[in-house]
Amino acid sequence: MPSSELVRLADLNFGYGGAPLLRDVSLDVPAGKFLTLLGPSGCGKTTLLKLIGGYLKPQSGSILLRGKDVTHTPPEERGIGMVFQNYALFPHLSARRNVSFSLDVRGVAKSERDDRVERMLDLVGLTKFERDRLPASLSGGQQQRVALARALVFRPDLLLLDEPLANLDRHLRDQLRNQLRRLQEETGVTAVMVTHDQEEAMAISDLVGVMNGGKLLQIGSPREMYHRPLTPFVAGFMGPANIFSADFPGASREKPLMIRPEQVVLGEEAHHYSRSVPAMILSASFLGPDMMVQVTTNAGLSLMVRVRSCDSIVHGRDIRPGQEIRVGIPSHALWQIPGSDGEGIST
Amino acid sequence: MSPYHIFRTLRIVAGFFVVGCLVAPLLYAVWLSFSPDSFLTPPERDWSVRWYQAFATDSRWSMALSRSLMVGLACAVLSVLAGAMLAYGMERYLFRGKGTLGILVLLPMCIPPAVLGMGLLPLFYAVGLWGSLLGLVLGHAMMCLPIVFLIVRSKLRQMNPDHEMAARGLGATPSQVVGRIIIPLWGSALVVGAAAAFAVSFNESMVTLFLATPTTETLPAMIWPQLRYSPSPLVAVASVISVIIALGVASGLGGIVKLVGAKSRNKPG
Amino acid sequence: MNPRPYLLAGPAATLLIGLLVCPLLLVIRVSFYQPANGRGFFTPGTWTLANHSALMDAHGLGLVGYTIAFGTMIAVVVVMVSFPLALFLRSLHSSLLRFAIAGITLPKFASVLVILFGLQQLLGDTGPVNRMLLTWGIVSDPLRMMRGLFGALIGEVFLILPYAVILLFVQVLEMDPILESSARGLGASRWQVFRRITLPLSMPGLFLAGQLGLVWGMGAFLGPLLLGSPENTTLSVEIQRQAFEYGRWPRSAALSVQLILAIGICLAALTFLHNKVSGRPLGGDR
Repeated sequence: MPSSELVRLADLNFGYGGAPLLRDVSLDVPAGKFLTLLGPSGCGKTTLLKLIGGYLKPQSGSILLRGKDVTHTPPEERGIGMVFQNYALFPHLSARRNVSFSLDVRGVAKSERDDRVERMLDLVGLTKFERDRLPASLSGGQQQRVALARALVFRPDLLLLDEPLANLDRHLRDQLRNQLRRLQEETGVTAVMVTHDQEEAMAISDLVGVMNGGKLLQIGSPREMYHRPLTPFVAGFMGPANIFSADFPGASREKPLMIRPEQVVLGEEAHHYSRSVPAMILSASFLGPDMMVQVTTNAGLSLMVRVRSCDSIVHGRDIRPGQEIRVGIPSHALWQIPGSDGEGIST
Repeated sequence: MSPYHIFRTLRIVAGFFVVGCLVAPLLYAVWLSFSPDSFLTPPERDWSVRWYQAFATDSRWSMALSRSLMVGLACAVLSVLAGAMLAYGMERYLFRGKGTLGILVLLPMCIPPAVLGMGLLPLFYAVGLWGSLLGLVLGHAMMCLPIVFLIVRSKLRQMNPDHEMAARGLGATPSQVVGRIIIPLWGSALVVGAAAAFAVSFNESMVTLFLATPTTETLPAMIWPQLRYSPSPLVAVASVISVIIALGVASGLGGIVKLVGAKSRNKPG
Repeated sequence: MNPRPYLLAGPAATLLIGLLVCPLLLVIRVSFYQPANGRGFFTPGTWTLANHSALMDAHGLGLVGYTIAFGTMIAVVVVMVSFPLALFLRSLHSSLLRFAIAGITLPKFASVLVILFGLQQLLGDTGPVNRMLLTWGIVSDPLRMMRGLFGALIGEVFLILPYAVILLFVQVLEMDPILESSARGLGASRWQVFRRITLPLSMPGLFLAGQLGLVWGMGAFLGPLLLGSPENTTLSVEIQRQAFEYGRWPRSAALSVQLILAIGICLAALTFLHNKVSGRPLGGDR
């Protein structure tokens, strides 16, 4: 079967002296997909992005783009669009000239250039009025749109995005997130985004890769990553998780078990499950739609439980610190984490 | 080697060649100062300190040296006081004449020293400051004002004015704010300004040339006629000594900054 | 009215008014005195235009022309050398950078006279540079580098360059290197990045360095006097010569006024040029 991946990274290593920033990272990005690299700051995700873009050179390993080795190719010959974290808009050029830059340096004819620039600016939704302004007089959201248009106007088949939504306020972020995804689907460009926000990663991506300490720990669909994490770190980074060891039939004692807080059942309903134990409420915090409840079982196991704020048990004055309550653990929701954080696993 | 590596190596070689050219005259002058005879050829085998001895034993040179030191230090103190106060006033307050003053303070840098000297000459002649060290100190302080002002102002701009407000809010009086917040925070800029002012005054030769008389000859005023009419290794020696003193004063002031900084960090409340 | 800012600005304002504004006004006044006849340096209480009109003859105009040409050449050379050097400094890593910065600033701790003395000896007819050129057979007679325009130029450039390099270095450091990488990523070659990003973003610093070179070059005194030719000199040299060698203060003062005017006009011209260049839509149509 012909390989469908656009980018293939093989055993990439990178670092100056001291601790390496990337260790043996291998990764395939399938054409047309949206891949998000997720990890805490300093995990090497931005470094990986810059290696793909050609802004950094790896110490060892290789980068294949469209089946060709580009490990030592300078960025201008790779034809990859990139949106930098602070957008890196040229401060002396208007929004329009920023977008046309890549066409100017390629010597694209004026009429075609103007046509493509205006169409791309229409696509990202920058008003005519804003197009002649310098970046400094554009708002954060407008700058982001210009950066996106600039990275896409020369029709690259790969788009790299370094925390493109990090500097925006929450409301605008959600709006631009959806626009970004729509744009990616419309243009058919393959996208690799870097973020530290797991919700953003899951909302936008076909594939999510979690990185830590310079290693790629796991890569998979958002669902897979959330429910079937391969290491405790991935489990915790994808969202709140109860991780514990316990004797359950069919589970080994050495490997930890995981259950998401929303899968734990609280109150009378818990009697429906075979594994239901008495427990006591330690604390509860109100989060709007949900409540996060901290309970400890009589056997000493501490669990986070997420319940809907509108649930009957909440109204039935049962959620109060010190209150005795029944906790049920559905066995289908339990997941045994196969790996430990020491090793990197890539699929 | 790839073309990029060759390019990079070439760039480093070329860059350091230019830097080397910039230092070369100074280093060559130092080398000449160890000449064993009165010809201006650099010593290769027999280095000699006879010109240093000649410098030390001639009272005219040592008098000039001590005058230069005095003028330099006085100028540093005066220009730092005036420059720092001006910078603080201009950065933190709005007042009438601020714009004019902002242009005026940079003017000494734009007026050719010959014109400054020519202007100060009839003035000092009229008020009787011609041939006094005080006149030199004042003239140099005026010339150093823009340097000190720019150094202190850039430091002030980096600093957060909230520090001062926070200190006031915590109950500090204005004078306590100066002593406990401002001086520790911008002490380094004051010292850098002082070092720069000293170096400028100590090495300044143009205005000195217009204002100095035989009774107020400073080091540059002594070097000057020698250099113009009969260059000898003695000129090189005087130059070397002035470089060493300028560097010494600058690094000494740098040491003070570190010391004061370390002390004020642990100052009790 | 809050008295505090006035108290803070007081000492500096006194210094500036007393030792800058007053002397400049005095220079203007002195330039209209009649020369001294025998006693003192000028005749008090007289008014004459003779000192100024004396500068309008061929010799006077030659002086002004030479000064302007000299300042322009200094400005061009200083910008052309300090800009690549500043970019070079930016490309260095910390230890090499510290070394290079020390090399550039060290001469500024020395007296201007030392640098000129070193140059005089290095580049003189029997200096090491000429000896090297002779031994290698590059020239058959020693190159006459001193006591001419070349010597004066090189002397002044050595004095001004460290300031210009540091000024431009600070300027290019402020430029985010990401801008240049992102331009590469958008398909620009090294040359295109320089032409379209680095150069336009450095324009304010280049303009400032040009101003510096022009103003200090036109006011140059020591370089032209010690390393230049005795016949062709700048206004500054003539100012000092008139005041000290001939004791003609009014002439010297008139020359000072001319020099200030010339500098003002040249600065205005440079600013006009700069505005014209940067007023164009930058990086616009090819």
